[in-house]
Amino acid sequence: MKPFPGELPPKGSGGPFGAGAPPPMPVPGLDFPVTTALPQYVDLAYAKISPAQKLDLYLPTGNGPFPLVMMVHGGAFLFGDKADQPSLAGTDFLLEHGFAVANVNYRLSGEARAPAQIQDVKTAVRWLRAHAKEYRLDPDKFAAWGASAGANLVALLGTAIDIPALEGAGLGNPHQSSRVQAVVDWFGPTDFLQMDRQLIELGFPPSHDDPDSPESLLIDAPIQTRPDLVKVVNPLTYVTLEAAPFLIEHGTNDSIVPYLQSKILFDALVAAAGTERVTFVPLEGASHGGGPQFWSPGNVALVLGFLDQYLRSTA
Amino acid sequence: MDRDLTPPPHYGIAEQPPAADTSFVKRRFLDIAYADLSPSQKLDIYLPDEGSGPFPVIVAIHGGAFMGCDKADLQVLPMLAGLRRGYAVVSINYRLSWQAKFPALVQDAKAAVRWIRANAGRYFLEAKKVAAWGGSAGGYLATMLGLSSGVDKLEDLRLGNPHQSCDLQAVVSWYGPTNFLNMDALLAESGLLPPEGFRHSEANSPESLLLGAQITTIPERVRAANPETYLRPTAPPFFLQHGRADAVVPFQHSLQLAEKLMQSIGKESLQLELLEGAAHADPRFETPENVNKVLDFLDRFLK
Repeated sequence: MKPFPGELPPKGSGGPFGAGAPPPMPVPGLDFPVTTALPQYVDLAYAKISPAQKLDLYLPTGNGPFPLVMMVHGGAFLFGDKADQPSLAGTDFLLEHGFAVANVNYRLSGEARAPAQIQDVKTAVRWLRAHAKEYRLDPDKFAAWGASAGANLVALLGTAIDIPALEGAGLGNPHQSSRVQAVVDWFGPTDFLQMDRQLIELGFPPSHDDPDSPESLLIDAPIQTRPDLVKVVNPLTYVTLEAAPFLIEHGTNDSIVPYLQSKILFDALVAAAGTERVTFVPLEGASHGGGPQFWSPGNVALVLGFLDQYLRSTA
Repeated sequence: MDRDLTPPPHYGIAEQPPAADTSFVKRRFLDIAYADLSPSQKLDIYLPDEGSGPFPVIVAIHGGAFMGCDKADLQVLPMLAGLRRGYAVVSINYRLSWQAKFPALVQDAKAAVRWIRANAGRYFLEAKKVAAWGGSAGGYLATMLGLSSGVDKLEDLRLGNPHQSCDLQAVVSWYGPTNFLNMDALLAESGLLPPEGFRHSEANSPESLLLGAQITTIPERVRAANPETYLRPTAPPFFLQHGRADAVVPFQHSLQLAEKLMQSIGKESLQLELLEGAAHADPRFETPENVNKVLDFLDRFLK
């Protein structure tokens, strides 16, 4: 654990776009908001077996304890980093709204096959709970937000409650809970085995059954040959009444992860726990990657309102 | 079409049709490789706009004198009318005569049908309901597929999916040749003998180029390429249409094939229509009325 070197600059004046620059949003060519906030803590190691097991922590102004939103980056389980701009999108909104933000890295599929990724993310949650006091976090108010591959991982956080195979308890802090109180799932894959069929049904070219697809690389086998391994990382496997509240959003024009992946998760959550705590927003015409429809003021307000509902309540 | 797939010039393909605009089809999957020996071993899948099938399949096979044209050119449009009737359409390319000699094209078409069956579940296709429909060289291939079930030499299982069947449930052949050696003679009977330089018996004819030698010098190889050779007591239902004024492929080919098929499959499963005054690839074949007639025939056996 090391604090960010040097003085923390005032908000909006630093970041990768240079000191003194005005908040660079919107940036031509980018269809997500650029993040200007800098982390207070960089590369906090939440486990020790891989250099990937690190997180950055961003705190809002105030004294806390702060409700926390853990962000889990996408990148097909193959790439991506907690400090990339796409991984950070939304951080400024969350901080302004008074949430702390933890952005986590996890072992990618080139380093370790599933379920290492969800074990890492769950270990990060447990680590944050164990260190809540030190970082002024409210350990009872944790949410997780992920896009694409990151959404698969946060959906597992919200559904796979007390599943020893996914906990990775040996990675650290085994006595802490890895539960989260809310999940924002943006266009995440759920049942890999249905992805190509759903793409074809929607008229998009299939690719996930290929032996070198991201999902096949994740389980280290062509997915259709190992339904047992696919099942382990499918959030639908674990849906019960105990699932966390979910906000699921997905573009209907997503040609990479078909929106039907979210639809089947939504249906399973409703069947198990009713409609009260799960919301599904199909974004008409939006494609993969969190474009402008995801970042419209109305949709940002929807996400923040959902998080408020489950991270601010005193119940 | 790929630039490296441009055929050498030949009178048989002096006018190649342009690409069809198929953007009206909401669900289409283009240029899927059904084998990997040649860039020509590709197919396009078109699905009805709604539903998850399984859809009975029309395999669309383009013509082009065995040496030209493409699965996505205008020839596919009549078959695509089947989408509104709940058919999936799979349009295939195959190796052309300047790329590989007979029986490569038949082996390709059979490999494509096996691929369709192997991938039926994935693409909402009904593996047990597969028909082929083509004109000219495409009619030849559809007929060969229909008649040559189980002929080892015409099937190259190394092209993929060896455990699948390439049998068809129906065949629609428009003006397809069935016997390469008597084409000139039959055309002459009708007063339609092509001028010298354009006759089927010559060394530069599409049929000679397909077989690798002037057809009059290789009767055994021609026999192996004639659909008639493979007539047996069983065959799938056939619909044969041919223009009486066809000056490229003599109408007698469809007539004679129908007479022989009558003995095996009977009139319930056989439909023959000779269109008075219609030429080779006449627009009359592609009118909505005629296309609906073909689809009515397919409905009888695929639904």
